Amino acid sequence: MERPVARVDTPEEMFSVRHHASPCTVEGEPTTPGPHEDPGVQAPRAGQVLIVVPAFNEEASIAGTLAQIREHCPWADAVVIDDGSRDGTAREAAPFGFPVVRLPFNLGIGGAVQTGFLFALGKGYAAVVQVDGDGQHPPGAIAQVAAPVLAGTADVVVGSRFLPGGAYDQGFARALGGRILSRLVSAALRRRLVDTTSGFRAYSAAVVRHLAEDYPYDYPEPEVLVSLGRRGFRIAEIPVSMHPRRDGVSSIGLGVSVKYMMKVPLAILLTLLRPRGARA
Amino acid sequence: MNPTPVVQPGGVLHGQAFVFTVSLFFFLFVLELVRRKKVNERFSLLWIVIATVLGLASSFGFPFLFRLAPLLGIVYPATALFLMAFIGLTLLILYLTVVISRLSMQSRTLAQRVALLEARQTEEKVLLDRLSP
Repeated sequence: MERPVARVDTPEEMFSVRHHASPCTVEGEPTTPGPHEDPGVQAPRAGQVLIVVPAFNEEASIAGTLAQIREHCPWADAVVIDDGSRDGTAREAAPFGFPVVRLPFNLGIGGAVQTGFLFALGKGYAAVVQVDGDGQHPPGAIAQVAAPVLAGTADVVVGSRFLPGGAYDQGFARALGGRILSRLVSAALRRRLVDTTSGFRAYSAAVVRHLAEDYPYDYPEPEVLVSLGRRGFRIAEIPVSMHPRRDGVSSIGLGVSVKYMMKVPLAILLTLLRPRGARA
Repeated sequence: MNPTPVVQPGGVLHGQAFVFTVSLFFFLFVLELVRRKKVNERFSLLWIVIATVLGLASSFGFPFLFRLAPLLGIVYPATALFLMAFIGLTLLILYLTVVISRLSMQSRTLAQRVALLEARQTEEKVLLDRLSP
């Protein structure tokens, strides 16, 4: 069931609905621990984490997302990738002081995210976190997603909606499609991954260097996990609660869903045919 | 209904003349496009070769077609021609897809670099403005 489109006036309202992850350890701030609160997560140092926010026609939600990022992650740098939006996305993003990279035309999520990786190159970040501009990914959980990468225990961390402790309201068909794809990825990697379509991810510097050179165009999420896993990068999943988008339209409609379900399995099979490649 | 035999001697000659005329005009058309640089060098060579092959095939190729068709188990010789044209066109389209893929990859890289440069320029301008009010 898609939620009815509702106007959201403040970022607080936007994120208070079903999202339980609490702010990532701002010092001295008393927070009520939510179900996913991990008191062990330390706030990273400044300059360690770059948050990449890809946005395509997200003028209604980009400001809320950025406000949340600034509130929850004052230690992080962020860059907005405006993927050729035809609405006021760039205008809405400007007041936050984060650099806004405006692509001259729409490249699709793959090309936009890769622009973020290219932006990160040579700036010394230990982790790059992808947080979609549509407000589905809770900025309060960014520190948790980045933590294993910063600790050096994982190269890729996926914020998973379907792990115990994660949550997401999703239509039946989409949930089923996601499950099928996750099974496929799991089979290809010979290990269990539960949410391979989630775009809420943290990548290590080595992975970012690799992906800046080679990243799929369309529906990149499941495919990238297979190619990174085969290269020997360590993939971890942590539970995250997300909520469906409330403003704007998902880029994945019915026709696109069908295309998605055909393209991704094919892409995974093709990935398996390629040489594994060396790590980093 | 007209029970004509499959191949009439005169029909073949007329057909051959027609195909030759068409491929001659095609060749001239390609030459004109190349001369006006509507087709760049890489593709102009390809198309000149294709036009020449078509011209030669339509001038001298017919006897071969008649011999080739039975070898392929084809009763009507023209079908052998269609088959070869079909294979050739498919290969050509495949090649063009490869070219398009390369171009789109290049334009993606260009878009990314331009966008990153613009963003850096904006950032530097903001810094400069802050330094010298």
